Amino acid sequence: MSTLAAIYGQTVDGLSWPSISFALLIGALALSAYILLRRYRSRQLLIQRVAELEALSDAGRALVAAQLDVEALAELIANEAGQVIDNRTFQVGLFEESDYHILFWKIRGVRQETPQTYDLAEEGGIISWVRESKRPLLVRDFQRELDSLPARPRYISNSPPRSALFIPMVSGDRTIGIVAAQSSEPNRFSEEDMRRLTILANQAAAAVAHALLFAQERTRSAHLELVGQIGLEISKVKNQDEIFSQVVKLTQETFGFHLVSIFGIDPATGEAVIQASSDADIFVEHWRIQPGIGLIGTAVASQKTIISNNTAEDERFVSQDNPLENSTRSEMALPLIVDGEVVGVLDVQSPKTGIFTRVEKMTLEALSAEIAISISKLRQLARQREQAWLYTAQLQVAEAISRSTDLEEILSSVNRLTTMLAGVPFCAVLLWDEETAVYRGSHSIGFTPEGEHLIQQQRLKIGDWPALDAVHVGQEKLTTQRIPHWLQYLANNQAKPDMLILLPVCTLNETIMGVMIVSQASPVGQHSDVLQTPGRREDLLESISQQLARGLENWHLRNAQQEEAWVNTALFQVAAAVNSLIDLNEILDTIARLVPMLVGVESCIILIWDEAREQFRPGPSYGINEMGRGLLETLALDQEEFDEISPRLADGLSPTGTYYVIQLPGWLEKVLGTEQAFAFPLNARGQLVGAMVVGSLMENGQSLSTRRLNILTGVAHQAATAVVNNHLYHEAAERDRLERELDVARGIQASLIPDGNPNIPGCSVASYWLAARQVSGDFYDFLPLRDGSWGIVVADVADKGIPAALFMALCRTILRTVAISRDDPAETLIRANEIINQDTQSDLFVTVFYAIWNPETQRICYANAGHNPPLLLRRDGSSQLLSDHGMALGVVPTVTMKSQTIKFLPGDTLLLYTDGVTEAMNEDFDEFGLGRLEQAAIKNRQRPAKLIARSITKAIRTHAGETPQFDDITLVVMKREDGGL
Amino acid sequence: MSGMNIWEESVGDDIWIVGVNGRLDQNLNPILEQHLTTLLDEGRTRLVVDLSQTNYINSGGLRTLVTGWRKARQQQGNLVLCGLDGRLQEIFGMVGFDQLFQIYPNRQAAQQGLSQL
Repeated sequence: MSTLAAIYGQTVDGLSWPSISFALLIGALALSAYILLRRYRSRQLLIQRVAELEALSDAGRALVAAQLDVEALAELIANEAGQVIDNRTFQVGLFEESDYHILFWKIRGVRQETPQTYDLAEEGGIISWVRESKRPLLVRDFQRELDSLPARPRYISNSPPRSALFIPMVSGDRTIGIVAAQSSEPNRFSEEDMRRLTILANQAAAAVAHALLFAQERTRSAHLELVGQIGLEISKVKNQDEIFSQVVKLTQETFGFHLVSIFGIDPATGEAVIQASSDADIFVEHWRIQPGIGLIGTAVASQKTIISNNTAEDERFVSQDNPLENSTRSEMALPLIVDGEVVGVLDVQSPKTGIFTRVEKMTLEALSAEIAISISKLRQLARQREQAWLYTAQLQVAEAISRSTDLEEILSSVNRLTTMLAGVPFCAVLLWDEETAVYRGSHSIGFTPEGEHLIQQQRLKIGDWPALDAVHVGQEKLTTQRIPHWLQYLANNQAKPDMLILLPVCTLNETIMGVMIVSQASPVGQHSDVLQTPGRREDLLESISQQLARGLENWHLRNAQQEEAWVNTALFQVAAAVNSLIDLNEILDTIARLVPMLVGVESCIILIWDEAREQFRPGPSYGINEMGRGLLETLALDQEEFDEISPRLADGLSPTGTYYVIQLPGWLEKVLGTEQAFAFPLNARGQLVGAMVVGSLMENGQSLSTRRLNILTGVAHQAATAVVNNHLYHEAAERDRLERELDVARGIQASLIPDGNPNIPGCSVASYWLAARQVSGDFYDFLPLRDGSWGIVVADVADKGIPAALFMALCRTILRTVAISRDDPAETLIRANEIINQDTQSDLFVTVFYAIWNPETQRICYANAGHNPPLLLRRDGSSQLLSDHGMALGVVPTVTMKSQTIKFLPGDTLLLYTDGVTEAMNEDFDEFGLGRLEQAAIKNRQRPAKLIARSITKAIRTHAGETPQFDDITLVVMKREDGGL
Repeated sequence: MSGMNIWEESVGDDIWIVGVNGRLDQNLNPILEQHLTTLLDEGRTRLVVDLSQTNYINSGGLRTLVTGWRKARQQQGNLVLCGLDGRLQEIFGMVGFDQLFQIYPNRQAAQQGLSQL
């Protein structure tokens, strides 16, 4: 208002009032008209703007609401743009990396073929500038502004546009596309047009981004669905090859690539090997690609998806020269990865360049993962199947082994199953013979009959075949290229193998039972797929060899049990035969006959050790010809000679004893008629009593088995026992004989001892005589002399036993002879001493008490040659020892002594005894003694002699108790009775 | 009953003393006999049998001594006794061997008696 007032003021100052008033009126009118016009104009503008905005808004709504694909949206954008600007030459394009895809293109109202793609990588022109700067560009006149443009237009045309509008479609911070309008007229587009198109472009950008996202999602989900379908399809397939061919087929069908191939990886070389291809020609060629070479090799080496969208210019591209590949322009190689390991490659090729976008990559990578999982599952399944097959195979072997009880059967089953299951062309088993330390050939399979025989005949000692030695010692599997000649007779004219596998047949406690030999040749037969898997066949072979070891071990155990039972039976037979016989010769004869029968040897000789002559004497024999028996009769080997022909003591081979392997002297060889002989010493209770010699023929070059040697050792023991028993029997018989002789001697001696109660006038007499052993050195005697006198003798020969008894008999006879003609006891004894000394050279002597009872004079005259002094009991109870004495008889040639005389009146008792009476001891070494004798006698002195004697012997027994009697006891009681004279 | 039942000892002058420790009965007699026989076979004929540790001798024991005495005499030697207790003297007296053997009270006396031989 101030401005208006200022204008008025200026006008008022220069004019007259009336004219001023008119002027004012006119001015006011004009002003009002102006204002009205302005208002109208504003209103018109506003209406126009509103309509414009409504159109734009409609266009925007239309764009945003459209659920179209990008191509349709591009067309919509063009149509909507037509509402706000001239769009007869119009373009909508989108960027993808360095590519510019024109999705809608109209030139002077004529629709161009779309899409068209331009590479912006080299020179982007105005389009790239707009993309980079995200700013719209208005070119009013290209001719005038060409030099001031921010970028040079790229295209050259016969009718280049004069003006243009380039508007970026910006979504987020990214230019996703361009909307451009052009015209052949200059200054066709205004700033206002630019503004309007910008608004539209912004709306369009949002719609395009949305549509793109939608399309991407739709493509992705469509592809993923396809991948899922393929995955489902291949998961039904049970075979890897089929998976591959299915994948190839489905991928090609689904995605429409012109060549799809799958490669596997050769585990040995790491090379990619064609497995399946949509082009049968390629597949046939057995295409192999080294890692790092070509797109496929690069994918294997890098474990990454490799894409070439223009193979013609890609140095990595290597093609098989075939029509399909020659036309390939794009290729994508995707590694199939399981557990971080490349197991194959999926390769797709297309004749179009630039076909593989992020979307294809992502989709096919998902597909590759599916394939990889399927392969992994299949491999797992295959492993399980292999394992199951292996178990079944092992079970088959185990069953076959446990079914057989026969060694030959076990070996043939194992060989048969080994060739069948492990797919080896031949198999042979060598058995270790611990006893002879030799590997013996046994059953084999896959050889000619001649070869089989040759293997059967093999006897390999340690050192004969180094590979075998190594297996024997190391107990480890071994392969060798040196094939022994006897393993080269292969059936069906097979080629000689390059390599042999030797497998130890070992028990769990590492005892080697044998060695299994198979060829290393590649597996044949129905299970080759399993056996191709590295290590599988070796596992199976090792398992078979272990099973065989167990089988052999069981067989040995069973055999050992049977053998033991057999040995026991055989020994029982011998024992039964031996026990039923008594005569040694008969026993040994039976043994000699049984041995060849039981043990299967040719001949048997028993030699008996003659202890006295220190020689072996021939005993019974069997299986010897007549000449041999003749030779044998003259045999007398001393120990040295025997040892000479027994140079080798074969100890340790037989668990129960030792035996000798004899080097046969010529003559014995003739006697036995065999190549080999064994001598078994007959030992019993540490005593050599003889020897058993058996002759044996060699059986297949084999010596006698342990079993037979065991039996022979057992028999030898029985024979030795028989010999010893026989000796004992003879010794016992000898003892019996001596015993009987002693009995006879005792009988004889007893007959020399007189009747204990002789009828001596005026006396009652009792006697007791007990020998400490069978025979005694004590004796007593009653001698009826001339003139009615009686001689009474009690004597004791020093020492006991037979010599004493003989001496006693001698002395008795001498005394009887000498006494008969002599009245003086001393004289009798002196004479007897002389005779004894003349007659004997023995050291023995005898003490003798000799008394002569003369009933007429009632006196006793006596002499004592060193004997225990008799005890005289008087009727009144007094007692006296008759202690006068001289030297015992038989000690010195001449003795001197004198006779004594005592009265012997009724009631008197004379006790004659030997030292056995007084020295009878109790357990405390306390002797019975003269005191106890006297006591017992005095107490009973009024009783008859018989009772006195009885009470004395009773007292002795009571005293001695359990203590054994060491000495002979002799007691003579002579009682002077009242009447009887 | 120890291992010292019979012992022997050389006391010079080629005199050997054989001692008996314990009862000279059927157990000890053979041992004594062996000792005496061995000595006599070796030509040792001047022998003293020391019976001071003996309280019993049976008839076998007497025979052993008589045999020894006889062999010693045959080789111009002698076998004398010493150390007899009352009981043994009684026995020797009874059998009359006190007239046969030279009997000394102790070893010294016996040694002396022998060396005068």
